[in-house]
Amino acid sequence: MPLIKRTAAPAAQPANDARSSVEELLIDLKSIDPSLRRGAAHKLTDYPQAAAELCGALVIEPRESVRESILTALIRIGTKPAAEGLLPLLNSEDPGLRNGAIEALKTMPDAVAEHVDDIFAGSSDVRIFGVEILGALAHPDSPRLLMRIIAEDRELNVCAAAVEALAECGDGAAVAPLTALLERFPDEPFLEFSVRAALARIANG
Amino acid sequence: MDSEISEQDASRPMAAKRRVLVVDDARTVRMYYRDILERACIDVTEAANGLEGLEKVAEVLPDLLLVDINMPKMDGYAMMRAIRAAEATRSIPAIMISTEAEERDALRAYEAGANVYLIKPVRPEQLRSFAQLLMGLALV
Amino acid sequence: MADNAVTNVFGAQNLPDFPITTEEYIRFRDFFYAKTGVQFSETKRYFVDKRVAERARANDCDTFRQYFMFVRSAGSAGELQQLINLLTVNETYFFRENYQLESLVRFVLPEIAARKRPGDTIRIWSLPCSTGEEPYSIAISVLDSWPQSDQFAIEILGSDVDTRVLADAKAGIYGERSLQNVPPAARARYFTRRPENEYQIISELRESIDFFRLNISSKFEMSRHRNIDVVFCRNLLIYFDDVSRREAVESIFESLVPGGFIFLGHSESMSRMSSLFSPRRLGDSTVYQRPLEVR
Repeated sequence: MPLIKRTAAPAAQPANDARSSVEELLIDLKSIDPSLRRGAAHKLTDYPQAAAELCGALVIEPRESVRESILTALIRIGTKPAAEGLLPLLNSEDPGLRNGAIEALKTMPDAVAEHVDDIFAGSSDVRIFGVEILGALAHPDSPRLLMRIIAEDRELNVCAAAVEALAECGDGAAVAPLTALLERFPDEPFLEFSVRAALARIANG
Repeated sequence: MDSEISEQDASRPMAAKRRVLVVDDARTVRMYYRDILERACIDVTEAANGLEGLEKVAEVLPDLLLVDINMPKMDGYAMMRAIRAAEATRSIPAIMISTEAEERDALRAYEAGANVYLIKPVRPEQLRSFAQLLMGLALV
Repeated sequence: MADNAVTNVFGAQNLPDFPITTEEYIRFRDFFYAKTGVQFSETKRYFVDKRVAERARANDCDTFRQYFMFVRSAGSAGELQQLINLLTVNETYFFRENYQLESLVRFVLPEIAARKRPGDTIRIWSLPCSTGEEPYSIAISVLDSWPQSDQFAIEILGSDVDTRVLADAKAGIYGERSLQNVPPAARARYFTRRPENEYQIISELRESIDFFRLNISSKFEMSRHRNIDVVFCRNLLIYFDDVSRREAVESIFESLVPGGFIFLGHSESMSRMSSLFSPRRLGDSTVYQRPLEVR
């Protein structure tokens, strides 16, 4: 039969499998070979101090597969420096980079909480991303922050995003602010729909 | 010979409903579009990001795409480019929708392959009109 | 507990006093999908409600809302795993999700073959292989249903982290229930009958498959396997948390050749896990491909 049993166990990896130093890995992170760059990103998970370099590499990395590896490493590292390196990417022109940063930041509640004021001083798109991140974090401050946004933010789309997030984590205290929002932005069918849905979810939830 | 019936209509039973694929990571937005479209007797399939959108397109072959831009895993531009690059899906009409209101954002959407670019929030009558227009339905 | 609770044949209690509204069911279903990639159809309503009610009761929750908040809270990681174990079906048998094996021989293997020369090796990896039904099913499908199988050297690999199931896989002995989907011709060709209504895979086939222990979460172990053309990784990744899942998918990506394919369980989707792979609709399956061009 054409089935062949794989004969020898696969050869042990050559010397580069021995635990590499940070310096060696940072050099590999710049290799022209994308599989070496991916491998370096995987291994740098063991070196949280490389968070800033990983973020730097992420910004200039053209290959999506390598970006993914770098993001995974940053998520695994999960420290405040990792989050701080990712936050500026919310302003990136590249939607893939922006959304990758958002996904990663959703896993880092404490670091994001520290920088909440910066996020909400940003452009309306950055504020929308901030709302999404807040909504995903199981952070005790989220409902309060979201209610503040729907009371104060001038951008309809930012408020709408906050309504959706509040539908998940809000309670009875959100009812009045949600209702008041409709007075701030009258005649907006999507907002009416969202607020109705959020109120129903809070009531039933 | 019923030569009056166009090739496209001949492949579709008279009463068959149109189907729209809604691609947006926000659940409330998907629900909102579903509400509007179902009231207009249009079926809806949902996807929560561009990758899932590509999967669903191949599964259900919708008559129209509604595609958000900012989504995890694969953004709307990347999804549109992939749709336009594939033989089976190249001609499906698409509305891209975003919060971004600059001219260059519209340009980017058209370059990716959108037929129409709308700015959020979309009003029900807007969505109905464009959906019916792009799917070749009579305006109600 | 309610007086009218009924004990069913498995000793579980029906819980008519634990109502779950449609809205709640949808929330739960969306949450479970976000966490595991497993999606429940409408027909699973009763199945899901019953098990959720059971877990709620086990955790002293009186309402769905209470239980749902508990599951999502930071202190309940173990509970989510319990739910996953309860709600996902672990049954394995020959030719499970057969339409995927059909996609393998009708579409995937021909495409792979077109990029190779006669005599080249084609590697197919079943991970986890559990008690062996999957790799043997793959082997039988390839031998019986792929006309070009003779032209290539086909390596079939089966790995699992559990050494007991690996031993069972190597022994290749199965009961009638596991063979329910095996066509009579294949049964006659590849199995020998044993006492007590058991069947054993013929030794030639058993010895053709490379079974080995492997932990998919070990990057080191995964890195030893390369140049794989097709991976079957069905109903494993749902058990992982998000970051472990990303890492496992990245490891599988590395082990595949460019243009290689991965099959997931039929209710799983790569769209919730990773953007490394491109979805391809081949026959009735969605299969995921590592891009051909360097990416």
